[in-house]
Amino acid sequence: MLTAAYIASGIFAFPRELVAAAGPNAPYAFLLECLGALFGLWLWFRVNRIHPDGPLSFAPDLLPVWLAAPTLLATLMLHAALAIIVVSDFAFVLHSFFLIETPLFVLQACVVLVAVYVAWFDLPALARSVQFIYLLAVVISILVGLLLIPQITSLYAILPTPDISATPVLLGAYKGSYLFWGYELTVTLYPKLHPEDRAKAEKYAYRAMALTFLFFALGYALTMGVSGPELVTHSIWPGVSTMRLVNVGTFLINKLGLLLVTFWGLFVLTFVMSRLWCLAYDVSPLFRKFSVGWYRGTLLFFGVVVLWGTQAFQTPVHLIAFAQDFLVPTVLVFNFGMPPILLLAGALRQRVAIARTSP
Amino acid sequence: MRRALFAAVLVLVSALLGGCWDDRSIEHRAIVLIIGIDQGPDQQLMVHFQVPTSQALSSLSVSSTPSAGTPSAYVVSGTGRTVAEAMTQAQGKVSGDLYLGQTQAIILSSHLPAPQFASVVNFFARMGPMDKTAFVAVTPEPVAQVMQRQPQEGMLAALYLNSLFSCRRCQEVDLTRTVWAMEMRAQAPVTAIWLPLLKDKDANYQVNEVAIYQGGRPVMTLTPEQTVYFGYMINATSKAAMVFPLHGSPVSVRALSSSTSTRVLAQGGGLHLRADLKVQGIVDTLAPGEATLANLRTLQNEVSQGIAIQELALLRSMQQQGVDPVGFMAPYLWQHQELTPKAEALYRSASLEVRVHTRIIGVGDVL
Repeated sequence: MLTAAYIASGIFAFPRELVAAAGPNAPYAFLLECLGALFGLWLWFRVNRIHPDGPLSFAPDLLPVWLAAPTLLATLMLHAALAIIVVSDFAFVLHSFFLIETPLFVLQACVVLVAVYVAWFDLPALARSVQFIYLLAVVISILVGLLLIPQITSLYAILPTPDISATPVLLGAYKGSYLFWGYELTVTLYPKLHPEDRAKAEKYAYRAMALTFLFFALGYALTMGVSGPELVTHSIWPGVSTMRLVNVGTFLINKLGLLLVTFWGLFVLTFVMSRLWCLAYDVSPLFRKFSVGWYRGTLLFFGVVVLWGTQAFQTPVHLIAFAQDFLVPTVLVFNFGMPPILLLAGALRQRVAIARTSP
Repeated sequence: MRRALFAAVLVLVSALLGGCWDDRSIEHRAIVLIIGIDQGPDQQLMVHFQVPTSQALSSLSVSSTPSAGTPSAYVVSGTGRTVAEAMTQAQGKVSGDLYLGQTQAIILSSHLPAPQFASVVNFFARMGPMDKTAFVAVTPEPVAQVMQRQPQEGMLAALYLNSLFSCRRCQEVDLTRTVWAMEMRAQAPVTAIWLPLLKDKDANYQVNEVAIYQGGRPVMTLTPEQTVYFGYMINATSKAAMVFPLHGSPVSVRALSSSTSTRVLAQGGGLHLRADLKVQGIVDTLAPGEATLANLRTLQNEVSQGIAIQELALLRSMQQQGVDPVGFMAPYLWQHQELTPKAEALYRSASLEVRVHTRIIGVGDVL
């Protein structure tokens, strides 16, 4: 579920920013990006261990109320923003390649509605859907992606340069960091795990992330090898553009690559439904009694918020500008700034508690 | 029960929300098979859309040819400063929706000025629903005339071009170019775009030449012979026959495949461009009793030398024009992006080397 909560964040845009910023250093930047995501996940797991029983958004056992309130707001805004940009991005893809006359709002509403519907029945329905959808979409992506191998003409663009340069690597990793946005959802998922399964779940999460690295590494090689660096940096959705080349004339559905892109919509769905679920649970500490009714009410409320938020983006250009100028630094600060603060707060609380109990 | 009802309502709402905005039944679509773009009056573009008739379309679906005498396709045209504007005008002349999603080929006039060529490439790059795998060719002749030609009895031009460019090893040189390849090359620095030249020969299509574009204009046209050697360089030649004298008799060698690797080496202040060609061929014509080891060795050397001389001459002529359709410079510039502004000067002043290694892999059934 954790993997499904981040795999859609960059699947359409990858590896545009990475290549544009890092140039021939892009493979190293990708590696750094992956290591950064692993480190970020590790940091959140540390937080989970000191705060295993409730959502992070309102954690009076860790933070004083005056600090917990803005934390709650930041967490909610972040989750909502991520859902908004992923829904918007997918709607733009559908609008540009498939349904040019269908109003964008309709496409966005369809995604949000289906996501709300799945999340409506809470975690079991969510988990089962993810289990089915996610693996299916990954397997089909790899199989169809392999059909691109004969079309590789820019092999030189895949290979890493022997002259490593630090600035492009750092810049590429920074600008391309959106690829793994969403793993902070672990904080909301953690309390749902049986305590005895938590260590095992952490291992699975790391392994799944490692497999995601391989998935994106394959995507990088195919996109760069087939489309070449110039086209990749000029395309809004390099992966989609490259997939459009998978055209099997004799097959029933000749535009096989574009069919796959619709399958990526399943990644979007899992991303959005887990985020809506997460939003509904993150506000739960604010309610004295968090019933099913309250859960569904908040779910609907955040569905409307997400749908409303998507209206802010007129074109993919607006979306890219918002994501790169605002969201990349914000998410980075959140993922690498918040855990150390919480860990420090946890350590201080523990020390104070020990001092109080000792004679 | 309530849950099931709720689920049903949600599913229904999702389905209904999708709506029918983009829905067009096939009888309301004018399915464009070929787009032709010519120079129009007053610096405008004249864009032609070839649409098959409903009879031709139904015969396509059952893989038969439409009955002789009946037109299999019609052409609607429009003029405008951009392809989109011309398309809007053409749309007014046809009852169905001009649909580009099944376009098989795009034929461009080689007389298009550079800004118009750039605008055309840009249009196809941005046209989401259009297939990136549509074939592209250029012609020096009036495009509408080329589009309306029926190369084989009853066969649609689009089908002919589709068959011609889909079969990679059917022709002497595989000159397949797609919208995507054109778009990809248009973005790369120095790397020129090459496109197959479509000519008229006895009311048939003839495709054995290549036009090389730089900056949106055709810089040079390769002769059929040069096209064969260019094909070796880009791994596209497979059937070319070469004739060499051996002991006073002509010997024919047919190359079956070529594999070329290119390298750019920094040498002093400049660059050295090296191409290594590996050619495999079979002997087609050789007098009986002549297929000896010594003769085959001599033949291999002759073929290698012959190809190397021609390739070097071709590369030099392209270098003089400052065009690099082979793509020597792309990997080097990717690694040395700071040199991109000087790329053309570096390419023009580079030294060239061609190394050919030929292997004869067959002599037929006669020693």
